[in-house]
Amino acid sequence: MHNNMRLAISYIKYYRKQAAILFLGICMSVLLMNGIASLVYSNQNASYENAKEEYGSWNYAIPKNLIDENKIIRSDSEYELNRMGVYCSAPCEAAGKDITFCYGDIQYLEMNHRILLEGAYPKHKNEIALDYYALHNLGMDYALGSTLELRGERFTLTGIVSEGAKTADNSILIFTDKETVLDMDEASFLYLEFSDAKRAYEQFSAFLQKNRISCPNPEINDGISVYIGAEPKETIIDIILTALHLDECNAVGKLIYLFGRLDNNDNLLQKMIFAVIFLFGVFIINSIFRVIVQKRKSQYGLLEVLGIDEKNMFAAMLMELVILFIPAYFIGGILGIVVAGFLFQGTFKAAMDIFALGFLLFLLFLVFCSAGAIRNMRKYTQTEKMKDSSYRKSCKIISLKKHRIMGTLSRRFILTKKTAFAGIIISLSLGGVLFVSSTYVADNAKQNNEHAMLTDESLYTDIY
Amino acid sequence: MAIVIIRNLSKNYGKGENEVKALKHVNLEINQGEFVALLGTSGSGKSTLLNMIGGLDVVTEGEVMIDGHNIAKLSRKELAIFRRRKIGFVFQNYSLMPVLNVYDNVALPVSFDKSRHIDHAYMERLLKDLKIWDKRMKYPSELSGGQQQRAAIARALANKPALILADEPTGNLDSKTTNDVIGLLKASGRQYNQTILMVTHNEVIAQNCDRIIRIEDGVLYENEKGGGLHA
Repeated sequence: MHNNMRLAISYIKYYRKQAAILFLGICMSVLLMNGIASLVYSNQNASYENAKEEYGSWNYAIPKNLIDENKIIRSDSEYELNRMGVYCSAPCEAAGKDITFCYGDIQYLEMNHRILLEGAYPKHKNEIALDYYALHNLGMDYALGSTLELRGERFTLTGIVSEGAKTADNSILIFTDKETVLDMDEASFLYLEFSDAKRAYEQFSAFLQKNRISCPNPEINDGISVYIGAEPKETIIDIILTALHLDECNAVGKLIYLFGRLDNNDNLLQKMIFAVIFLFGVFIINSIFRVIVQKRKSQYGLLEVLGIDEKNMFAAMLMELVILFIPAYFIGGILGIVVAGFLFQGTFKAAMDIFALGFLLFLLFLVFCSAGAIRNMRKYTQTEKMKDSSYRKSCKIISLKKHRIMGTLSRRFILTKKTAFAGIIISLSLGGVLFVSSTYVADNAKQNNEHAMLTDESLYTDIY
Repeated sequence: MAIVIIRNLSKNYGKGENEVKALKHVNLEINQGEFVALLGTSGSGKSTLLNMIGGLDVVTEGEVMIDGHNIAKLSRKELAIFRRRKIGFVFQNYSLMPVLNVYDNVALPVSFDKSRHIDHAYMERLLKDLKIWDKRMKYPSELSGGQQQRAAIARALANKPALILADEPTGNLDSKTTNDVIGLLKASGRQYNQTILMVTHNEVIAQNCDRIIRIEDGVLYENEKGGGLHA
């Protein structure tokens, strides 16, 4: 091991230019991968934050009568309940309008972004808090202390709350104290918000099991369910079968459905972008490494002649790559994240899981790369390697069949090194895909930022 | 005792109309401790024969036995170990690793042998005998041709192999350095009872050896020193 390391270091020290090119190649590939992955991740995160802003951060709602809220086990190895809020509502019709008297505890209000803008939250009977939409629709003055008469009772406005998240209920919400609502024909729910660290569905299932609750039809926050994984995970086969049985869709429609479902179910788009960038990096590094190995072929041949076996040569090659790879990966990765952070206007989040996964995958690739180089050299005898005959020339006379010399020449150039030619074509194709992906990510990020800014600006306005 | 036994060895390159018969049914035996010159003109097949003996190329027909081992039957790994321990190579173009200094180049085959340790005292003596001890820290590119060839010879001798295969080791050297190199090979062979097979096209150099084998068009002719030829 010590000898292999010494040989690897000797190579790096002697061939500084080759080492620098390889280092830069790794650095740039990693920069691109981590930069774009962080942009995609931040973009997705921004979409999720926007969705939470719009639809609330709660994941599921279950009828409160299923369990005593004080006996709930809030965390376990498989789930962690971040917040749990109580919401009681009693719909009624008064003055020809759909009205719902409701009560939400502080956790519920936080999850639904109901912020108290003025005054106090109702504590006593016949006290109410309304948002501007309700004030407007009930024709009340926007002033604390103003009163409202409904069903023969007089209610006093003690607080004004913000609009809050979108709900399926389009009625006018009147927030009042708990007792008032409980006196009515009410329905109570527990709103649950699980940790973002794991998929919500698995956490919710574990939560139900642990607390021995049976709830076959919980209410799901549809606005954020895609981001948190609130639905059971479908298998790829199920998704494909469903897509194939969509009789009302043509082939393109089925494909769009398939892609959309896979993206929702398994973050396909993000994975595809990551895979393309990773493959691009692999091609870049592999191409540089192949050229380097080709240039040193006679030396590897000599090592073999001197009795250094393939295992040792593989170890020396791999060590050389790893010595260059580790600093290059960290420098490239950090630079990529920093650059992406500058480009992304909003709450930036580095894709650390991609950083770690990329490190392992690239390391694995280096193992294959070195093994491939050793395997490739088996094609030549030691004499061929030492003479550095780069490739076996074809003896076929192409010009016998082709009359134009240019055609013959181009054919020679293309066919002499088929794998190199294929590598160039694939690299260019991947580069094109990468360009399109980057543009998509940048545009998407821009759009999400614009949405986020609009949401922030409109949060406390009274324009309806 | 014969350390090299070659039976009915043939080597062809190319196929069909491009086929070249480099060696034609060669039979040869070389005894331990012999210093043999393989003499022939350019393209006669002398380097091909040396490569076959060293296991550097694939045999078309026949067999090569070295120290009782049929090298065609050895696996890649076995062949690598066999070469490392039994054979020392010296090439016309020196073939030193450009990334390593003289000392590391010489120690290279031994350093990769787990069952052996580098005998630094022997290495020092070897390099001093070859008059390159003061160059031990230099890289091959910093040495003259003669010094590089001495380093290559030191590397071939470093693991005290039973057989030294030298492919025109003096091809690129001036006459004084040539004499030095031949003298060194002879001295080493005597000291460690090594068998040396040296390819050359120089009749004068060949006369320094115990035995001369001529090769023409892939066919061997034994030449008793000062005597006639017989196939």
